[in-house]
Amino acid sequence: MEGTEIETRLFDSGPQVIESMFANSVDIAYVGPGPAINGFLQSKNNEIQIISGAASSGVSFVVNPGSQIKTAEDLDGKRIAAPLIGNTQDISLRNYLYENGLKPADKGGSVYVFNLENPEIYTLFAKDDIDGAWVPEPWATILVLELGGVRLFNEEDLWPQKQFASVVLIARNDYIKNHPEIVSKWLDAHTETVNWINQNPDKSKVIFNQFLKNTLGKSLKDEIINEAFSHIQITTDPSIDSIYIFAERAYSVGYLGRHGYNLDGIFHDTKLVKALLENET
Amino acid sequence: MKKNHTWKRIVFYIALVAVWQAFDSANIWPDQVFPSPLEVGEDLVYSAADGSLFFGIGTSMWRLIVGLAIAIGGGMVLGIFMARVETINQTIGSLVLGLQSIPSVAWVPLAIIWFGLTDAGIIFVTAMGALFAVTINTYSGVKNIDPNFIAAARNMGAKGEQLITSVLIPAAFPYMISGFKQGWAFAWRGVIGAELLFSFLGLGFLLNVGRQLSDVSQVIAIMIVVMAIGILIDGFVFRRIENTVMSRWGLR
Repeated sequence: MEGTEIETRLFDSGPQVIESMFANSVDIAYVGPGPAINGFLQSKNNEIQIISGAASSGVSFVVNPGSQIKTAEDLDGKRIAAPLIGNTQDISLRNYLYENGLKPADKGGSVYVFNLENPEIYTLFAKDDIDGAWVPEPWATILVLELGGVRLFNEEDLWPQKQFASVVLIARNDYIKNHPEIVSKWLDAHTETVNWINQNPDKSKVIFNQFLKNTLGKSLKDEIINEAFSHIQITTDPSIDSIYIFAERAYSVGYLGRHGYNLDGIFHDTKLVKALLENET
Repeated sequence: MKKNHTWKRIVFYIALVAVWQAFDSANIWPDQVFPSPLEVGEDLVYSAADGSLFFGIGTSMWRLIVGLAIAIGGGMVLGIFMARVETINQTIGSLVLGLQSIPSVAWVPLAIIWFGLTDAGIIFVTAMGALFAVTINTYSGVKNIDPNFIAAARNMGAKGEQLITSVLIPAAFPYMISGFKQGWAFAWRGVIGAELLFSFLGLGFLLNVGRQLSDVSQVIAIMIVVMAIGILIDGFVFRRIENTVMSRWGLR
């Protein structure tokens, strides 16, 4: 275990991470629940498992001030963006439309859903080409503070317990079996990091911004970082209920095939998960 | 003879599906990589049932028709001018040959910047894909008209618009029809390619959905639909028009 080298890779979106995990080029990853569920089910329940939570909430629906969108009914005929198809925000947006009696245009409805990468959403939002965007932090805050977007609501306000998993830690099943000690070490470090972030929010923000600067060549303004962080909870709690609800929603929008689905075994049986399960019941 | 053809074809397709099924049953690749014909069939039924397939087909066809109409209109005008006005041929003509070598999807980045994520952008890509095939065929058609026809028409007083609509276009029509047929094939590829990259409704979008959801059977199902529509339009629309034109013009 000592001397195990960790090679980190960044991906634009969860579905790409899952592709790489299927190709055995990634062993452990942080992704949204949408791709995690899709990956678990696509591989006939045996390639990917959730080993911990990482973050909860931190998604908002931001509308263009010129769009006059105030309620769900106003979405009729509008152009709304979400990140890639099958990603967590895309599932939430489509589900929100159905719950409000609307349909996306690809199913013959009246709401145009555009699946775009976050930087592209930013550009189209700036050009007024889209009326709203269902996006994660820090993009939601960037749209609000830089482009004058209006945060219509935080997604967690739609959830029964006002929280839902937005990032989970997943691992390849093979890898868990063959390297349990590395995975368990990873989980310890993960828990430690989560605690540290919650105890040192200011330092975390500085580190996060430094990370952005190093990897993307661009840092964010302090006010954006502060507001974005205020919408996210960093936690090891995978909000198990919310994973099941996400799966239900993904199924009802037609993303999980048509033979029903079975999430048994999606959570790796770590002590952590067990403890969480006990806490909930 | 004809009946014999049909039988051969039916047997071929049954064999094809059987081989496909055999490969699937051999379990060389997992199902999420290589689905069975049954799964693909199910996907077709499923996307037909929830309507997304028909909306996809409708959207793609609509874009195809508008884009192709623009390409045919523009290509005819451009082709006739190239054939009749030497300066245009020497200048624009050389550019047209160059532009024809650009695959239609190569217009997508420009279309996204110029038109945004709109139908107009996809129609633009479609039209650009077909335009030059129509232009070049119209040009050859007009160039190949027996000069005596044109001289005769002129002697009888035809000029300008009348010369074009009553003499040039009818005389060049068999060539132009091949141009339309080629143009349609380019346009259809252009629509699907552009939709795949724009990811904004249509059959290309459904292909992209399959990819994003790692749903290979949906990808194959949509490819089959794209192919079937290609065969149908080619066989029922263009081959018929071509046959009619060829026999009426006494070329067959």
